[in-house]
Amino acid sequence: MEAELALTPAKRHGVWPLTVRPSGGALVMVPLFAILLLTDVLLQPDILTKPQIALTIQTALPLILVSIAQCIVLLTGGIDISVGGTMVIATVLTATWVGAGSGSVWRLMLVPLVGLILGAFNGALVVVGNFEPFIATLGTWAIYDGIALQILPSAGGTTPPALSAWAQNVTNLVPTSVLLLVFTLAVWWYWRSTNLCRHIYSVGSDETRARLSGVNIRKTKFSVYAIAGLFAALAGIYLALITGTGDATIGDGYILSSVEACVLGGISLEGGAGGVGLAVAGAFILTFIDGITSVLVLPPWVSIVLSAGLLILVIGLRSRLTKQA
Amino acid sequence: MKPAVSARPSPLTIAIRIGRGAVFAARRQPATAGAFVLTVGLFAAATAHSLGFASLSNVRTLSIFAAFVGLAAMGETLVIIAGGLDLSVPWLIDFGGIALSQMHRGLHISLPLILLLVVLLGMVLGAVNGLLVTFLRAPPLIVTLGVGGLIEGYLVAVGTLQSSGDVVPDGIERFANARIGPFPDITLVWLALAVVAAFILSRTSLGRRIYAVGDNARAARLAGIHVERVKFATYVISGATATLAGVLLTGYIQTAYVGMGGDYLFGAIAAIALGGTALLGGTGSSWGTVAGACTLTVLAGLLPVLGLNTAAVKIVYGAIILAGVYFARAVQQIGGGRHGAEALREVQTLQRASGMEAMDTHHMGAAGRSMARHSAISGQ
Repeated sequence: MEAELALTPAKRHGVWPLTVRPSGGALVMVPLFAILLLTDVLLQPDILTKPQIALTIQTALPLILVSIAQCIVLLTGGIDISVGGTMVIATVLTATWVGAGSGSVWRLMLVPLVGLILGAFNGALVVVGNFEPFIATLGTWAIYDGIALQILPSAGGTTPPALSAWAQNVTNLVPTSVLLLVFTLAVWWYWRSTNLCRHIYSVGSDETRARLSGVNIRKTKFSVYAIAGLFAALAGIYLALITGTGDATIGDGYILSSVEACVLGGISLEGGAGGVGLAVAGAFILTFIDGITSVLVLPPWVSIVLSAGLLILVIGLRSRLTKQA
Repeated sequence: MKPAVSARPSPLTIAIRIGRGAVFAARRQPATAGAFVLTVGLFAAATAHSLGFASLSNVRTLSIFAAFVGLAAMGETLVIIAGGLDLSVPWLIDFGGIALSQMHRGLHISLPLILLLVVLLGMVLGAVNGLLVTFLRAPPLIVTLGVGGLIEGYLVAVGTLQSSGDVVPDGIERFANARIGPFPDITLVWLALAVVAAFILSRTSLGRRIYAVGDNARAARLAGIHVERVKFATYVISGATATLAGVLLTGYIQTAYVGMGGDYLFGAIAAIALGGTALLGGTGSSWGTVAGACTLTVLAGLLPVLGLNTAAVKIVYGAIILAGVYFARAVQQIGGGRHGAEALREVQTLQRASGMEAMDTHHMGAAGRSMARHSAISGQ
């Protein structure tokens, strides 16, 4: 799995020169991932049963999905602060508008679409409004957070019981969380050989060269934010389903965590290097740290210091390894 | 010629002079003027809705809250103009407050000494940011996020060790709630430091260098500027102002806790952007951030007055940030704001004037050599 995660899409297709920078981050990520996984397993050997693995993935999956959203934007050299806002809108919609009524489950199909639209609005601000990504998504984050709070002023609501039971199931032949993770990675596996994905890498690594090679920069950037909105919404839906309820305030913690996960995974903030697999690994690294500190009953500051220290360590090692961060 | 022109200029003359000065300043910093206009507009709207908004006590309170935003954003303005970013500001604020009360309990030294020590420690933390950014050549967003996390971890650890109620020094509480004439102390501290920051940016060599580094670090390096030192200095300044904001905030709210700076993470950046400072670096001004802080504070005070709930407040807040930044950029493009390239030219002129040989052609590529030739030609 680690070898697969370390892969970068280096296939050359088409006429535009696709440059893939050496992803020094993956070199740091793989040992880090292995050490933390090993520590976690040694500390609690019974984690290796199927339900426990499924439960670990279930805990990590909302962060994984948000990190994927962040990762796709980072690949173009942008950033999306509003993922937290999009996520809570999806969460509260799932807990109220979709709700517990049996007749309204079809509405769940529309929630990802809402995420896509919110993401597209970010994309429009960046591409048409010429806003800096940080500022554009900072503004929409406040707006989306407000909308979520308007829909559900205080924590509550109920998700469809059948769907929640399905999402929380860890004893199936293939547990739901495992299924969703594999499905997500499979989608990425397919998607990364599409034209759009190669355009994303070429825009991220050298915008001028991409433009000269005929890549539609505006369309690519717009799509990236829309897709990020989609994935943030999926994270929100999943979070609502596994908790069975909605809360308009849980999104803020995921904004910087998603960036952290991407960096720990080895994605460059300057764009063009890394991939969704690395973001998933980074999200797992953060989950392992939390798992280890809670098993050892360490005080909460250990987990904070550990993840912050690792962040600086990883970025330092990477710049030493690649002479560029 | 008429004898004895009255020594005092008439009020009309004064008004005209002030008006001319304002027009001059507005031409020079159109985005700042725009943000101030936006503030006045929002203030007028709030006053039209309820007259109490313009009461002296309310304006005083607003000015204190603007001071917290403004101080948190002051050093970061320099960081951003130099092309960096400092996300550790909220944790530096927490640190300022908690370190103050810790030292007050633990060390038996006078209050001014404690204040000095806390701000110095804040500068050390800023220096850590600066060292990591320049040595590792890592993205400042990540480095400052990491350093912020380390500070948070330390504060949480300290907090769990001594969870009993921390006492805020009486002296700082009195200072934070006192005023000189009609002006609150905190507001005066903020404006005084804003004058210093504006002076550094527009009148000192460091300021010129900050613009030059933010506009084009490569060109700045070729012009003989120590890019790393300039960036380092901005992070140290940011550490000082953010910690000071934390100290004053603690004095005002009379308590200190982890998370009290949380609102200033994005609030400071929003104030900076509203003032016309581009996150890409190279442009912007300290007065712009002052104006942006005023806009945000009046906005935050206005929305509840209009009877909006928390949700609507957030929505309008976000929309105004976007509209304000768009507006700031539009007026800047019309007015042609200060540009980093201009600052770089000024630095070069200064260096030529001081007889300093900035152009060492041995270490430069073709671009640098041609630049050196150009400056040699233009220097003749």
